Amino acid sequence: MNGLIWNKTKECMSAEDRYKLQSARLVKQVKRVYHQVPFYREKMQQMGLEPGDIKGLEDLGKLPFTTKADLRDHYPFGLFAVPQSEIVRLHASSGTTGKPTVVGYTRGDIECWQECVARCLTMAGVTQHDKVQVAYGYGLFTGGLGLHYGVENLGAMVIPISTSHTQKQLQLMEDFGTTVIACTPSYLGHLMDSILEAGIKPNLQLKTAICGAEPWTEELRTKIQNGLGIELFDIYGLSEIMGPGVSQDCEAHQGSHVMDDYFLPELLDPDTLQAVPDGEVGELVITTLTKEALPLLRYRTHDLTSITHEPCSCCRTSARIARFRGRSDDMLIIRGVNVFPSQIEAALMQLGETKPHYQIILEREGNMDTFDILIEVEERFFSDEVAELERLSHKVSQTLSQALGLHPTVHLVEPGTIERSEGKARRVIDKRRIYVP
Amino acid sequence: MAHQLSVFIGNQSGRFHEVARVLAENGVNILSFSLADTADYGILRMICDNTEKGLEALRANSITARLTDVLLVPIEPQIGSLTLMLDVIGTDVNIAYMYPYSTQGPDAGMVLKVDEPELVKERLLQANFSVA
Repeated sequence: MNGLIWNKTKECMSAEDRYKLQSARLVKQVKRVYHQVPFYREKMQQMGLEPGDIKGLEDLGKLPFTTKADLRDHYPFGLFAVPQSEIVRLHASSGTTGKPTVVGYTRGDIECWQECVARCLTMAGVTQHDKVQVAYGYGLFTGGLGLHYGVENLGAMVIPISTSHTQKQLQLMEDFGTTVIACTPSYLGHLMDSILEAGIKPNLQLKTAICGAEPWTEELRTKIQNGLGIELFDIYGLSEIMGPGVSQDCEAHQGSHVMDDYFLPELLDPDTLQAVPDGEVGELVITTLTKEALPLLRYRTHDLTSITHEPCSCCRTSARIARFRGRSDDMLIIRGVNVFPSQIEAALMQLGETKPHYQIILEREGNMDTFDILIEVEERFFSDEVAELERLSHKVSQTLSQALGLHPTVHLVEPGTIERSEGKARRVIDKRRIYVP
Repeated sequence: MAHQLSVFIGNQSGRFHEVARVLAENGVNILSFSLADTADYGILRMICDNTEKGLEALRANSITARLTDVLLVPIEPQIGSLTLMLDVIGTDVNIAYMYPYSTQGPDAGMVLKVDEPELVKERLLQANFSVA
């Protein structure tokens, strides 16, 4: 145990103090959203609820839920609670259809975010003496800039290399003496293979990895820890709530500490939406307690996990969530990118009046996700010329790349090739084992 | 113009056999064929004695097929006749693909898919080739 804690006052407060703080913040937040966000005001009015009815945490269950569809319906800025002049940054993630989900941050939100990420890094034993290579994507995706600001806030050195260019990643790691890498766990697996193949492991100073943006298992953690001799930490977040840093595991690796003075977690049965007891699997629902630009009440993450409120051996008293068991919706996470089958459907509709029969196949090759799509070549798509069929493959690939930000490998197959059960084709075959069974 | 039977063949063993079987069982004779292969699929192009019947039979067996207009050009079975035909077609016209056909008799020729079939046909006819 390194015993380092970034914000001991907040991270180790007593259960009673935590409850009081969360209650006070919730009451204040509900008042704000009621007055600033017409969507919530209308919802609460329909439920016969006034801000004054929420007196503390015990009233949380009275509040309305928020879904990704609500964000889509108010695209792009309809749920913002501040004037646009107060927004200092936007990020976006996949929506369920063509439009992305847009999130905004005030200066205060960015400060909160970098506080959370600094807590996570400290939890992983990272200090100002470290050199952190951020190999998450920079841009609209929250990963790169989220980690970046956290590292700067901590006072460590940030190497903002962003994704891919594996050879360059290795070169900088070697030349700069990188001690911490932040990237998706599957990409770290790929980096590990490249490091071992190049035989440069003895030249590296690497000791820690901050991995997130996709679900992964203990099996992969053990594999990489053994292969590289480094310690891996599992950082969790979603752009709707903030980005990476909503929770992370400490050195005890006994669950992921939720920054619950900012993000209030609930575990609910996804069907009945009733609370499930600690230790039982349910859907994680989060209320942002201090978020200024985009405060969300009871946002349904659709991530399935369990929760404990027992204090951890690291002294932190925050609630901890277990490794993810799956999703309560059909969202896929491919190479760290969130993909909804409905997005794929919508994109393929562009190919003709009726979309082709297709099937997505996801696998792990080495440690990387492969993303293949089979397209049944019906007569209307068929040509006697190879060049024409190659154009079709290319068009499918381009259409999906633009819609998803991921390049699929397209395979043209004969009609009837895709298995149908009870006449219905299974659209997605996910052969990866990324969730805890 | 002649009709070619074009068939999409997935990259699985036994698919070509399936096409041949369906045509045989329906009494369709394959006079000539060529197979273009790629990593994932093949395109089978055939000249048959009864193309329409072949198409119908393949469709009935859920095999992706269609008819394609091609030029059938008989050429003399001797050195230089292919060059002569290509001279007449001209180097300004793109040939998408071409394969030979033969009959039970001494006649032989080429099956041609070109970008400008009407122009090519006219040029060949003017040079005393016959075109089907």
